[in-house]
Amino acid sequence: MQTFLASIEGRAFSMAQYATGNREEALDIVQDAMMKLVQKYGTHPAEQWKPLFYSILQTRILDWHRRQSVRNRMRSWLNWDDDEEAEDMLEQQPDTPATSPDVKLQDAQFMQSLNVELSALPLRQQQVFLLRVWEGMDIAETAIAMQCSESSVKTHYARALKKLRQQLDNHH
Amino acid sequence: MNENNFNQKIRLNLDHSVDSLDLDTRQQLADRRRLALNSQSVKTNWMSSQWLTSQSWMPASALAFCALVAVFVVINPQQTDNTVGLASNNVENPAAVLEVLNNAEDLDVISDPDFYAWAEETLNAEKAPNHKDSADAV
Repeated sequence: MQTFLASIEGRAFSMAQYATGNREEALDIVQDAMMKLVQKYGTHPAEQWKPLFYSILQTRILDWHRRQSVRNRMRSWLNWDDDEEAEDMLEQQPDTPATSPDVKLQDAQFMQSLNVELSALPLRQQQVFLLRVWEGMDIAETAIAMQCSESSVKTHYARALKKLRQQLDNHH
Repeated sequence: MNENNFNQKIRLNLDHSVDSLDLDTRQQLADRRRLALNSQSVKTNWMSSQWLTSQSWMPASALAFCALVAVFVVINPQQTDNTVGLASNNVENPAAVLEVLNNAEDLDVISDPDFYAWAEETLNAEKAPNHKDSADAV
């Protein structure tokens, strides 16, 4: 379990950060997902951990978005000033390789655009795309993790891919 | 660029972004991972201790229940009194009991309604002089 979590935590954190745009929230979500996996599914066979973990993670991210939408509605009713937070959200966007010294082989501009476009995708499209492309999960596994039908996975994936290609293909 | 190449490029960039996560974030993730793993051992310990406790209390509870039942069944004061009363009655008047049981005639008399009519007349006759005596005394 230790090895599995260590191997997956970085990607899980990035996914949560793309979904929330907030580093601390992403860390909390990953921790919650790890705890639930360990406590509830620790005794399950190791090959089930990955889909279970991502299922928990996606649920946590969805919960976070639901809470945020309620909070935003409250903000709009009460006219809270959230300029400060908007500024923080920008600061919390994932780091790009351009900030690291050893990124000569990477296309920094592409990565920056990728961060922006991934963050701009609708949540479900973003989750499906990352699970399919980054985690290498097939349609059935993604459907289990997302708790939706396989046809929904296909639809979300196709739409996400189309948008990303439209926005990123001009970098090459 | 075809779909596979495009996805491959995205995958490489995303992997690189994870590899280049800052030290603080890596440390935070490691701490939270340890916390999650410890939560398992804490939960396991708590559950095992609870299991142990319930297992060890089960025979003790059963024993206590049996003892309680034994107290009510064996040393029930009411039942003891009845038993003792019946026994004492038998002991006090054994001859009378034996006489009633042995004398079939007496049993016939007790079941005869005329006996009760006679008994009432006799009682009234006995009461009358007593009543007269008491009136004389006043």
